[in-house]
Parts: sequence; structure tokens; C-alpha cells
Amino acid sequence: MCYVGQGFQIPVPVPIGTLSKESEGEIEESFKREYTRLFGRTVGTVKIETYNWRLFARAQAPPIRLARWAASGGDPLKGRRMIYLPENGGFVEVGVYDRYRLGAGKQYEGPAVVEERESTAVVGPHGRFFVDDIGNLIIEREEAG
Amino acid sequence: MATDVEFDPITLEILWNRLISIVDETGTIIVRTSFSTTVRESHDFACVLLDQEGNSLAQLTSSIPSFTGTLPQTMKHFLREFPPETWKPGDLVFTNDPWIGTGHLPDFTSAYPVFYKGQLVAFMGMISHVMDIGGKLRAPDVRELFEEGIRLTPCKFMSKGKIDETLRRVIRDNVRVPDQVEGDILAQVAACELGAKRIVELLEEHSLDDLQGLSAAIHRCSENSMRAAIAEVPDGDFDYRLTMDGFEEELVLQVRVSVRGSDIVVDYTGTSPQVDRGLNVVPHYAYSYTVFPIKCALEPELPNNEGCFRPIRVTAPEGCLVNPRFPAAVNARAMVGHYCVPAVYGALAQAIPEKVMAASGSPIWAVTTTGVDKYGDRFVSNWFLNGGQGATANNDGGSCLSFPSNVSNTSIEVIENTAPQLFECKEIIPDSGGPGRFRGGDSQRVALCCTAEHPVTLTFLADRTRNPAFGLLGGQQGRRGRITLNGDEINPKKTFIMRKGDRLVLEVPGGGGFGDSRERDSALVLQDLEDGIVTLERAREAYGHRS
Repeated sequence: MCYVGQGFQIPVPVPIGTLSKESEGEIEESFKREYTRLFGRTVGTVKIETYNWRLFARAQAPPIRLARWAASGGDPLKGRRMIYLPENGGFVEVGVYDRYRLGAGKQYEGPAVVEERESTAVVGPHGRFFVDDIGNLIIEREEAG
Repeated sequence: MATDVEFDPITLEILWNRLISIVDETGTIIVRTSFSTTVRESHDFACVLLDQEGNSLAQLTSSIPSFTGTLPQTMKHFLREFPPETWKPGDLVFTNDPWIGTGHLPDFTSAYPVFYKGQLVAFMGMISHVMDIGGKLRAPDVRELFEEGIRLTPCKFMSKGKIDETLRRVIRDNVRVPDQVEGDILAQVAACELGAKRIVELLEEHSLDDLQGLSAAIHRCSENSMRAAIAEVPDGDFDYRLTMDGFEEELVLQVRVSVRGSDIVVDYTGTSPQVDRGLNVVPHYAYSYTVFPIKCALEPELPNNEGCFRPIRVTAPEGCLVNPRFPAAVNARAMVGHYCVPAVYGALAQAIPEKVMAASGSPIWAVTTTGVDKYGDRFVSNWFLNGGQGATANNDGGSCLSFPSNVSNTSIEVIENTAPQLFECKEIIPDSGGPGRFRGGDSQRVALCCTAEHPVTLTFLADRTRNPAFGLLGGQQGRRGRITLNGDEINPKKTFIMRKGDRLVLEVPGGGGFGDSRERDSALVLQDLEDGIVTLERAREAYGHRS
């Protein structure tokens, strides 16, 4: 906040709760206190203005329960495709999987492609993958030799 | 005795820098709490720490040179009217009298005492240019001081921390923007109070009773340095004469710089007599812009303080343009005062050419408007433009950085927020810098149109529309300045009315060049061409460029 016409704003605490026209008096008093603390005295009858409002909030984080993963029916392997793998130095045919059909816990070997609505994961020749009980796609990579 | 306190060089340097740092901190208070954009955006203010005798000790790093030269002189005047024993903690004395202060009414010079253990140990000094001071809107076409606004000879604005309500009312009642003007004066109060607090902290930390020893050490060391530098300048009398646009008729500034050993006397005999227009320059102001360029040439690294200026004396016959008699009109004194700098350098070029600067595209230009804004409130807007800086023996002049004023160009966003003006362009003017081995600084063109619903009054500070900035040692002059209103060139010394749709174009003067342009490094010419600072035609004609 600052006086209209100044070029520098000072942070001023404002009352908690719903702010309305009635709060103006309290906000103005708070500004005057802060201004006096920093600069010694207030300035006549000049209007006051606010540039930014900041809210600091702190609350207890609620417990989160995640739904158990339920794969949709059908064979997760939906096709095969030639993809270029730098580790192999050329094109290799790999399985293409539907993520939503992967059952929880079942392990698959790379190389493979896993498709979903928003994205595609490519698992390399050193990787293996599975979906865990809450639906995360986990890819584990064995260290290359 | 306190002045016998000795400081080793390290401690002296640390304490000296701390004093400067304290003053710089007071400067941030001025910028943060001032209302006028002249102060907070263009930095048209100064903060100076003075010792208990009113001698300057340290100044704000980004001060206006004129102010740091006038403040100590104003302070000594304050002490004659208010002797040291009459000051109490929480007092503030100020004045805006031109002869006692800075040379025109909008500048308020204040002094605030610093006490430690019950003793007066120093003064905090402040100067700010307030937005309005009543009277006619600032323009040189005034005839005498009384038209320029309200004048307050030295008086106590604050007594033991309590503001004089009558004085406050008198000021508020007589200016166009009372809240802003009062706010700017209160900004000075806040800055002074902080400065005093910091000085006390310094004294406590270093177990000093007062600043006398430190002051003596700083002044002695500075004076010795300055004298050593002056002693290296060949003795002699060096004359220079230049012309300025004036109001209708051109005016002459004549200077003689006399060097004898480690003393310099600068005399202005031969300068035009004072005029009945606002172009007169009070002695304090002429003094500032005479000593400052000499110091810049001889001892640029030394922080400014009273000691630096002791070896220099400035004189001018009474009744001349730089020593006018009351009630001479003075509101546009910069239009003459800033010429003291090129005059002094023109003279010194005969003795120490490697240390001086060609003329700059100064004096600084200003545009002032007043009227009613879209909310129905009265406004006053005052913004600045710099021209090109003069070149030196080793460097091109800075772009849009006219010397000596140190007032910044006002940014367009700020202007458009405070005045009903819409800017169409702000651009470098190619070929505006005078050719030379080192090129004069280029200047700018600014075009705007008026968006006010009601007519506004428009005035300027502008010069060098007839007398371009001269070059030195074969360097050529910069481009002249030019102002047009709706396409017609106008005399910027007059007052105008601007209406919605009117178009104003300002072309600020370029700086003068230094040395023969045919000796310029061809790589620099090529760079200028690529940057658009210089046209192909100019590159060929003046610099011998072959493409």
C-alpha cells in the first residue's frame, strides 16, 4: 500500500475475515501505523491505495485415500510396431500395450511401448514394467553392462 | 582536542565510505516517500551530510551537482540566522529563497541537526524539487521573481519534532498540488531523521564523541589531493566566450580561468548583464557548475566534500547574468547555469585538453504541463529529456546523457500515468552527435499527442535551438535542438496552450565532438553505421568512410 502519488509500496497487515466497506477504517489505521513506524509520520489528507493483496494460509493436510487400480477388460497387448532403439542401433519390433488394461502387479519385459490418452511411454531393452495397486506405471531399468 | 584525533588510512577509508553509505540510505527514503516524479523518477534531489560548522562531508552518490555545491553555502547562511546554540533535537529549518538556496523557488533546502550525548555534532541536509510552488507555470517568460511563486526565507518548519501548522497551511494554500508538495517536504523530514539515527549509531560503534576529527581528516586529505592536481595544471589565464539562445536575444557567457600554483580563480566579467526574464543565475548555482567540472577534470575519483573546493574561488560582477540583483526572475536558471560547464572546459582546453569534455546537448530539457485530469483533479506534470554528451580525448559522448545535470530521462510509462499525453515515438536521431575523432553523444526525438479533454498549459526548459553544442580540438558541433507544435517550430522560452489532438515533437541537441573526425578509428565508424547512429552520407563526408 502507499499514498496515491508515491512510487513505493509498504507491506501492511489487514484484518482477517470478510473484508467490506466497513473494514476500510481498520485497514487505513493499520497502514498509518506501519507508515509511521518506517517513516516517522503520516501525510495529511492524501488518499491511500493498495497494489497487491497477499493471503498466507496454513491448514491441516487432509488424509488422502487413493482408489485401488482396476484394469479394464481385454488383452493389454494391442499390437506390435517397429521402433528405432539407439541401444540396438536399428529398428526393432516391440509390443504396444494399452495402459488401462494392464493388471495390477503383472510384470512385462521391455522393449515395449505403453500407450494412454495423454501420453506414450517407451520402455527400452533394459527395462521391465508393471502397474502397481494404485495405478502408477512403474518402469525398472537394470544397469547396462 | 577533538580535531587531533588521528585516523589510520584504513579506518579513515572505512568511516568515510560509511558516511557516504548513510547518506545514500537517506536517499532511498526520499525516493520511496516523495510524491513528485521529478524527485522519485528523475532524481532531482540531493542529500548531504554536513559537519557542525556547515561544511559538507559526504553527499548522496547520485546527487545533482548543483545541489551539492549550494547546500553547504545555504547551511552557513542558516547558521548565521540560527546560531548553533539555538538548534534543538527535532528542529528542521528550510528555505526556498533562490539566493540563499539553489537558485529557484521549487527547490526546498532543509537542514536537521544531529545530536549525540546532548551535543550538536552534524547536520543532515536535503534538497528536493517539489512539483509546484504557485505562481505562473514555470517558463522563462516571467519578468521578476514575484511572478514565480511563493518564497520562504529561512524558517523553522519543525520545532522539536512538531510541525509549524501556520507554515504548513501557507504552503498548502498557495500551490496547485498541496498534498504532493507537503508529502515531498515530509519525505525530507523522514530522510533526515533516519540519517541522524545512523550517524549516532556510527559514533557509538566507533567510540567517537563527535565528527570533528573525521571531518578535519576528510577535508585535509581532499584539499591536499585537489591542490596537488591543480599544481599540475600549467599556470596562466585561460579565456573562453560562448553564446546562449537567451529569450529573444542571444546572451554571452564570458569566463577567465586563472591558475596559479594550487589555486584557481574563475571570473565571469564580460558576461551579459542580468535580464528581465527567468534566465538569471544566482551566485551559488554558478559556483556549483564552475567548481564541479573542474573537479571532474582533475580529481574525478575523490568523493565530493568541502575540502575539494577550497582551492577554487568564483567571482562575477554584481548585476550580471550570473550574479543578479533581487528580485531578478530565476525559474529557468539551468538554461544559463549549465553553460558554465562548457565555458570552463573551453577555457581549460587550452591548458589540459586531455582532461576536458566538448559541450554537451545540455542544458537538460524539461516539459511542464498543468491542467485537469480525467477525474477532474488538477495535475502538474514535469518530465525531463537528456541530449547527447560531449566527447572527450578518449571517449565518445554518451547517448542521451547530457552533462552535467545528472537528472534522469523520465520514462514514458510514468509520464503517461501522470499527464494526458500519449507518446508516439522515442528514438535516437542519427547524425545528432558532432563528428570528431571521438564522436559527440547522440540525442533523441520524442513525439507525443495531447489527450486531455480540457486545454492544458505547456511550458519548457530548452536551449541550444540556436547555439549547438561546440566541439573541441577540431571536433564539430552537435545537431541543434528543435521543438515543433503541430508542425511549426516554436520558441521554447514562451508559454503555450495545448489542446486534444495537438502534436508536440522534441528533438534534443546532440553533443560536440573531440578531435579531427578523419582520424576516427574506422572500426568505430563501421559500428556507428551498423547501429544506425551515423548515416552513410555522414560516414563518407565527415569520417572518410569508403564502402
